[in-house]
Amino acid sequence: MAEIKVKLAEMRFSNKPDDSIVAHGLGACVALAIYDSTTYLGGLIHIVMPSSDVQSKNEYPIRFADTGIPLFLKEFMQQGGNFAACKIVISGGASMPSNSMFNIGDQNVVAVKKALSKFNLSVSSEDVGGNNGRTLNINIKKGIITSKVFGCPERVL
Amino acid sequence: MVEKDNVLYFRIVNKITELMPLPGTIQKIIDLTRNPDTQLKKISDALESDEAMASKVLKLANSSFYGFSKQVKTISHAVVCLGFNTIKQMSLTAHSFSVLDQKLDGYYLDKGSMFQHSFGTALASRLLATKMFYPNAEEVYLMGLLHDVGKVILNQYAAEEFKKVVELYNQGGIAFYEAERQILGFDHGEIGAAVCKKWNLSDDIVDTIRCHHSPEEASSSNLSVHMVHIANIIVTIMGIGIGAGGIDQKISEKSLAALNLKEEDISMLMMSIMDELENDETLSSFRNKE
Repeated sequence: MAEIKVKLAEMRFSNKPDDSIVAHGLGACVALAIYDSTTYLGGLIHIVMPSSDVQSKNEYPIRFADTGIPLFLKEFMQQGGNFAACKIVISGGASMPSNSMFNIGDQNVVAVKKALSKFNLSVSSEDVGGNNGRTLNINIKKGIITSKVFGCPERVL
Repeated sequence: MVEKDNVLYFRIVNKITELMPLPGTIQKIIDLTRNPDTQLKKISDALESDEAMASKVLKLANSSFYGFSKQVKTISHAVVCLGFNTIKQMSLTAHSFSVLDQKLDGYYLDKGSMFQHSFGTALASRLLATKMFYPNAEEVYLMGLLHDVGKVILNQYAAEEFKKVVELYNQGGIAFYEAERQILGFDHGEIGAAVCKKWNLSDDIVDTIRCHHSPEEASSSNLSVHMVHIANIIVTIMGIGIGAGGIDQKISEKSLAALNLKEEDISMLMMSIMDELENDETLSSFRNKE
């Protein structure tokens, strides 16, 4: 099975049965996975920060929830994905509770959901918050999406 | 502080030279650079006698950080352009890359994660040093690179005790390094500091590595410890090479104040870290082959 790794600020798609798409080591970052059971098309985006306001030019749209999610959804449609038949899940968004200045995880989760709502879409399942590192995995053949905390069994979303 | 009767700590410290030896070339360079009257040629000769190390130092000398307009082709040219201290730090940096590129089961760090985390923290530490106009940004880079070197030793030498550390951590309520302290009587910072001491590195490096999770305990004149502490936090939040400890760490208010950091600075630092990770050629050129 080929594992397609999705690093910080990247997005990847596949409809090949042998593939899995994976975002490893999610801290405050949020990975959003989408899967269309009719076309077997899966996609995953690794969002790092909530808002693109911090950059002067729109140089790195995939880093941010507000600019990355629209691009991701557009690409999903272009590759034949159907929103009516898709499942959307998120994982990550961990936070350091000791200082609100570093509470990027919560902000990422809120921003991702807000960006989805502009397309009238919402998350059907999630594994977010706390202070654990996570891995999100899409098995294209089975259409199963799992989230795993280090050292714990994986959880089907 | 480690208790004087901590048998495990002293057993590990006595094994450091064997577990993590410093190559003879680097030891020689450190000894030579200690004497300000050493001739540059002696340093060039020492480096040139170790072909692999010489080639790594040249790669670093030609990386974007130093920004030389002309290519640095020879070691003697590099020594003249960069000076004693930078050459010493470069040799150590080149060696550290190979030490850190390991799989650490005890910390749930797969091959590559430890390296990425250390490298990311080194870049972030240097960014903070530059922001603070700190005179020796390259030394702070080395501190960031080595901050978790103690994990490599603990993973190797305290595997049994480590199961209890993981058990305690999994009960919740404390950070991973606090679980290390409770079970072992010291954390990976103490072991990393012992490594740096054995390698004859500066007092600032030893102090920063020891206190990177508890900068309040560092010497009051040590500013670099705050840079490495915050760099480690930001890189951890970004999930760069995180393992068993997740992102559960205490952020020192003293460090935030010492570096005068505001919320917008954190976002800008995250942006710069991503830029550097994308552009820095060091990462790909120094990774061990998997």
